[in-house]
Amino acid sequence: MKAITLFFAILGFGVVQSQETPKEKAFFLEPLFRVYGIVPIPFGDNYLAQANDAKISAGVSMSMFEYHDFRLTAGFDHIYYDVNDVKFAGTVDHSRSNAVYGIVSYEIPVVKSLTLQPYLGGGWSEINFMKQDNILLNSNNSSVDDQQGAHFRVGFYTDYRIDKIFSFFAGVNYVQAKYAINTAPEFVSFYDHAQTVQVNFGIKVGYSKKEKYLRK
Amino acid sequence: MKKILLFFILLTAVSCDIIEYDGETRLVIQGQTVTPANAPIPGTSVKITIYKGLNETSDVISYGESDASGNFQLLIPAPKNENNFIRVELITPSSANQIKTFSSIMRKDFSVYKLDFGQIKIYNENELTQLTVVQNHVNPNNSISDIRITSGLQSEDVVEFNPVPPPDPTLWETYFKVLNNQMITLSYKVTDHSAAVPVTTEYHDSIRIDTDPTIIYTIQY
Repeated sequence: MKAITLFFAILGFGVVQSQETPKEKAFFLEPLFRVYGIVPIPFGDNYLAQANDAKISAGVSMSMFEYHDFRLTAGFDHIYYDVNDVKFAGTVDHSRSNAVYGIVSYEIPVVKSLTLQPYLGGGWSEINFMKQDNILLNSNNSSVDDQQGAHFRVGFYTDYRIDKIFSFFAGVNYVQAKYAINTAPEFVSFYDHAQTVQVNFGIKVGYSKKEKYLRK
Repeated sequence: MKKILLFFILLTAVSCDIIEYDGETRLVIQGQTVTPANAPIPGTSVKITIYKGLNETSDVISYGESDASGNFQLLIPAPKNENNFIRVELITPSSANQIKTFSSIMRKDFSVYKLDFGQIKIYNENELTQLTVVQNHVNPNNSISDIRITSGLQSEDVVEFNPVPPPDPTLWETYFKVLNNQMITLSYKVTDHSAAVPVTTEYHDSIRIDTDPTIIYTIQY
């Protein structure tokens, strides 16, 4: 309950800030949250694309301010895969790709309630490997350590405002990840990277540049 | 508090029994299954199991089949403990063929993360004889060692990469799988410890292998 109260307090503060700030002011405190589904489309000759089936997954992101139409956002993507090729994966049942990222986006108003936000960013990545027998207190269990890496991402959002606070959005991005790997030379390129196009759709909660839209 | 302590003790005990793999290291295991006439054997089932040690926790880390050319290639996350044993079991579609197993493989047996068995000849069980060598210890001053086949064709069911010596070298039996209808040479060393300086003599016994499924050969030493 406290968290919800704090959330609305921050949101309210942001609204007041925006309303009281003259248009010329470059910096706006505008908390903004996105919760979204991800349709991952891995491709290329690499472990995630060739040995796994990607599932619809989820992500969240948060941004606190806007400066000259630029916005800095931090987020987390969690993408779920079912292993389909034991030859490359071993008896791992699921792979999970986690990414913590930062992006810089630029807001371009299209019409009154529609904005386009191209962005660029990157961050930390890892692949979790989940074995089915990896159950607590199972005397015959085993575990596989994560594979660590980093990634670069580029894409855009299109936000459709439905009221002062809520927007629907959809977007597409391209993520290229690089992972640490030790293996036979002919398989290094198979395990050391991933390429994914992600289609995102979700809800944005936050107040952003109300005046700009009202004047259009 | 006691319950929490007990939980963590239990958790630690269970954790000790876990086979851990390194997700950032992949080992390649490959080979080709062929008949004695070098014809490929497709559809050979390949199973890779990791053992913490002899008679300890095991985990099947991969499985697959040989392709139309008899080739198989499996990639597994490497066991974090380099002393864990890897076991590769090959079962051909024909139950008349021998089941071939490569056992006690360790990380040191890989070269640049790869272990290539090359061509693996799989024989029909009817073509093989199990030779049991019984070591009959008659002279207490003698010991026996290095029993091996030095000429003749053999095809062991289990190939030990890092054999563990038998716990009691006396009253021990040694097993070989050899091809039928051939002469083989069994070599071994007998060391006489009665003198101040032990004296070792190497012996080479010729043994005729016919078509019997088993044969017992006794060494008196």
